[in-house]
Amino acid sequence: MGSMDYSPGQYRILKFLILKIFNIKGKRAKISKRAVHKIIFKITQEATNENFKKAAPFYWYKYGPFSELVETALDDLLLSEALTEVRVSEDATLLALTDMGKELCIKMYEELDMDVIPESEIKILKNMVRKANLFKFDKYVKEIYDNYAPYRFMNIYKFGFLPTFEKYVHRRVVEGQSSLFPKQEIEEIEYLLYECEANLPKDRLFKSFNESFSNYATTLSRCLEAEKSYENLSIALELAKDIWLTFAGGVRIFAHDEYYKNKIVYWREQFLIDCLSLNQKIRKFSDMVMKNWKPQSLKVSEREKKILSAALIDYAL
Amino acid sequence: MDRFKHHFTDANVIIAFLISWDSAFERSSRYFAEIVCHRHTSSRVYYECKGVIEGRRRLLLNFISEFYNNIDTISEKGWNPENNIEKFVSSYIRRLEDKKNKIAVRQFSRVVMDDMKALLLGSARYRDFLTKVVNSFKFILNELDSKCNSSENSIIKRHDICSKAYTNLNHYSEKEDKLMRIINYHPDILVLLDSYYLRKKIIKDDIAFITFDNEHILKNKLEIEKILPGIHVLSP
Repeated sequence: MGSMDYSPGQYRILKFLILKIFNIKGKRAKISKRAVHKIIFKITQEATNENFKKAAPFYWYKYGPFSELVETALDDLLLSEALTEVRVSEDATLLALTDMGKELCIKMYEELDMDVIPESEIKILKNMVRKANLFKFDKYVKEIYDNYAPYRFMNIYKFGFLPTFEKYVHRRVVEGQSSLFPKQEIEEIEYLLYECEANLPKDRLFKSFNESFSNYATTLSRCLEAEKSYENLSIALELAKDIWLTFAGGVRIFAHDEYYKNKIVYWREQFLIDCLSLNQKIRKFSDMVMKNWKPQSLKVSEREKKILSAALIDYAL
Repeated sequence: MDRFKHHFTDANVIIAFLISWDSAFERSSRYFAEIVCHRHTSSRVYYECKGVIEGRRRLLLNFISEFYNNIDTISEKGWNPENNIEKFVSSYIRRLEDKKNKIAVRQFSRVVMDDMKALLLGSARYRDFLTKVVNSFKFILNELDSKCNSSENSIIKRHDICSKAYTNLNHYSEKEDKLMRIINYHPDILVLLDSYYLRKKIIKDDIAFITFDNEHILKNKLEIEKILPGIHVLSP
């Protein structure tokens, strides 16, 4: 969104859109707040109607595109009892449309000028919302990352490295099972890890983050190679999650709609503080792994020697 | 150089030692082979070496990843694969700001030209190429940690006790200011102060400070030695 301004009219359209999503999904539909953010984001990206495109400003954050205005609108709709919270497990609640919400949706549409949102646009909207499969929502989110994430690093990290590593640690540490193909599994984790390193952002602001990431990659590689480093693996997984959260704090500085321009200074300060803290944690982890580390007898081919000479020659001369 | 029992090795000397198979580093390998002494360094220097190696790994992995991700566009540029690769390399280098990184990518692209050609022609796997580069760096990081660590029998003993900053340390802050006036590059000043700190606290003997750094250190040898008595700046 190219403007810092956001009008009450746009906010009304946003609230209408949220109610309409629930309406299209059916009376029994229960949708998470996070899913509403993603669906609205996709609408703003793919709708042909200018009013839908400008319905809410977003920035990329911990769980992908996030809008403070969507959050506010959801709270407003809950407060006015157009939406209600449904507890689905001990620690999770979803949102559902109430009868009052259904009536409000119809009323809001009647009040909207047909020039603002013509009938034909509603049909397109219906198609877009129906495509969002709530039962396979991870796939929907992945598609958003594939098509819109500002850095390639994000897709590889969130959908490649992190789940693969998490699965490995869970099986090794929590379930205590060894792998049938340990070498292949470690190779896959390492490949994804270094593919992430290859795709780190180049902006100067990420310098400290990138250095910490590389230290983490070196240390995790060693950790994976060392046998019985279970305790270290659990710490490595916690750090992997920390890395994502820190990165998310940096990505919003670059990937945001104009509306959030006033927040950049604060976000930048916060990101630098988080990078410093991440750096210290990773260095501590590295020192811990190195305490029990023993040099390996690695062999190097003539070709690999040439690669290293090329990489480091200017530094040593 | 022989008259000093204790040497403090700078990061550039350590890195040259790690790739001492290269004839360009003859001076460094000869220094390590011929001079018998106790070699020391600080954890700051160790982390600098590690940071340089990891930084180069990041750069070169990014280079091959960008090459692979743009392979369709690159191969459309013409019939000659080498020319197409060359065009990509030049455009990648143009986008780099750091002059040293430009040199590293240029050199690296010459060494791996055959691998890039094979990728372009579809006769090699990107994953294998990436792994090969990663393994080279694993080797050198392994070398760094086996030759420079805190154990007593390490070839270069790493001391982890040096101060993180010298600004609030009596006696040192004044020296830091004086060094700043002649060197004006803080990272090198901290390394010089590390060597002085070790001389005072641990080694208690004169130290030869061994470096290839002409720009900041070797050319200011006399002034540095005046400010840090007992430190003797030398090249390998």
